[in-house]
Amino acid sequence: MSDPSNAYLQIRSVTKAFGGAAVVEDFDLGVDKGEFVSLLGPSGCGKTTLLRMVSGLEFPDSGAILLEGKDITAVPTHKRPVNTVFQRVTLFPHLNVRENVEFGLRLRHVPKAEASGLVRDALELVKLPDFGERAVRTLSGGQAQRVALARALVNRPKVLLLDEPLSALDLQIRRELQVQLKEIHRELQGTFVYVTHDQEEALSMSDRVVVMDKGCIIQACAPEELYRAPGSMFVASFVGSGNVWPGTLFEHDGAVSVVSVDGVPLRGARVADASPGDPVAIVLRSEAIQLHAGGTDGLPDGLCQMRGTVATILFVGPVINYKIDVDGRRLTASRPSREDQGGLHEGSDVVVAWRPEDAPIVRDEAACPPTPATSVPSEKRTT
Amino acid sequence: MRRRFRIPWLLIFTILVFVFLFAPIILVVLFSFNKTASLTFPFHGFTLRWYRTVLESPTFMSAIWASVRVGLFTVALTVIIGTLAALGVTRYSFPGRRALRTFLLLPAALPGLFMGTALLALFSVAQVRLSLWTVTAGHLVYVLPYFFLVASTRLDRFDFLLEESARDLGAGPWTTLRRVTLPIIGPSLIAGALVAFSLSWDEVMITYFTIGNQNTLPLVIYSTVKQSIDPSVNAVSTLLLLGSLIFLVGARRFVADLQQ
Repeated sequence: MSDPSNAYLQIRSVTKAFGGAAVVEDFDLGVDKGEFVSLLGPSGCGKTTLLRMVSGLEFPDSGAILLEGKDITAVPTHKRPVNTVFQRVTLFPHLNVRENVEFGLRLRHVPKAEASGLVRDALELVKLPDFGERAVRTLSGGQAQRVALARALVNRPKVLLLDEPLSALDLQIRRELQVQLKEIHRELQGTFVYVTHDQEEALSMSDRVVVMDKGCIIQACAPEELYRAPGSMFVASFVGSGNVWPGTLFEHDGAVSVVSVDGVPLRGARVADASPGDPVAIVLRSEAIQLHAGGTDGLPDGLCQMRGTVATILFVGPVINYKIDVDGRRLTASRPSREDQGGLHEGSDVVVAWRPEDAPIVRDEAACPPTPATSVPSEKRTT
Repeated sequence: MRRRFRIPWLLIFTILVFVFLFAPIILVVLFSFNKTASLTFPFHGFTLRWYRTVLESPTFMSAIWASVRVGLFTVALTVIIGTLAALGVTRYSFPGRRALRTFLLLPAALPGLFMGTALLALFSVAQVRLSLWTVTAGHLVYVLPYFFLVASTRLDRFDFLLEESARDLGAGPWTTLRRVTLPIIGPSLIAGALVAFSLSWDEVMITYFTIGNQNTLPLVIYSTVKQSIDPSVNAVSTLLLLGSLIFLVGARRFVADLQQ
């Protein structure tokens, strides 16, 4: 994707520890100009710390951060051409919406007339054009974060940093703002670095997703690739919903590899760099699984299949989720609810089937170098 | 159903308490407007004569100015030291932070008599001549805990992410303090300053020990009452009361900020 040595924003072997525990370790990442990159990982994986080092609110213990080829590692926050939208609402309560958005412009002594034009544009961009004179406390959570976004964007930052800005909002508003944010990114062609622990958010908005765990990169690639070809068991279980079953690689067979899960051979897409006997896991995405009530008759060739019993049926609107017991394992499948399920009910026998190319096989190993003392989530700061 | 009349004991008790609390105050204020010099009823008509006496008396006037001066300097020093101390213990974490907080509040719990003696001992050991400055120093020790309590309570509720946000938007440390932190915590600091002034304004004990040859208003009132029954004392006491009230009522306006 991007060559870290000449990217727009470069993070070069950055390490940061809090109280002896490494939070970010020997981290390398390049972000291209205009790219929307998400840092995705569980809480405590170091993603927020990494973002804070780019904004200058933390300084790395070692390594360097470069923007447009210039080393900004030691530049203090207020002198970096970078702005942040925080997870919590950080609008200044003593200023109204317009004054909040204007804050950065006034510090840079932008002439009044020009500033008020920029503020108006920024508020229009976040679809709050008439909110300028509103008091901050009258805003809803979603409106407040949009004002915070306008307050950051009005300064034309070279990189916009977003630290889980939507995580405190209701699901519906979150979804709306995801779309809005993506449209704003397309309109401005800006460089966005987005931190989130919500895989759906990362997949739906970004050009590239960087999956992190324990302070280092597990996998970095486009959302589709991440979903279709997860590089490790960690990524497979963190991204997408479904069943990740560990086993050992039995054999390669053309485009297919066979995994032995508790002695049962299961066929999935061929896995590279693994040889028979290696620990691997097969990933059965819930939506890639087909269900047949009437036995194996009439199934197309080339499908893998297992017999099971429907344990639970959950109707959730667009899809129906099935929990199916197969050989003592619990399998999750989801089918579109408009599809005729041919009389499946709880307790009925069912044939579970999938196309091998839809079932990636991943190596069961940590892509992260073993790092001692990273078990403490130290993203919390002492305030 | 017939309701039996019951004697409202609670109401009577409450009224008695209030009479006990406020009667002396009302008497002093009332007699400060009394035409004759006697402090007995009946009331002989309204006059502002005692107030004129106060305003024309060099003793009273210099005492009022001394009290104002001590109060203003005490408040100025208290606000600067107290705000910085409160920022320090709320914003940073360092060993001994909690102990420091307790120590800063301690002088408020010490008896005034003890503080007065201790300060007098200190000043004589250090060979500092007693003056209004030593009084100001004494008042500073006495009111700082109260101001510090108000300021640190407000800052406990202050979201320091707002400061990070300001820095992120291009504000240096000084600009952040001036444009974000102080405007937000300002009302509480003003409330604390008003309380500090009213504490200094009527302080007697520490002042008595640390004063030089000038007198503050409370001390002049005290010595005047000791010598003779002078109705102008009522007038000047009323002025003292008015001063305290103005500042306490003023402080209340800003306390809302502390309680939200």
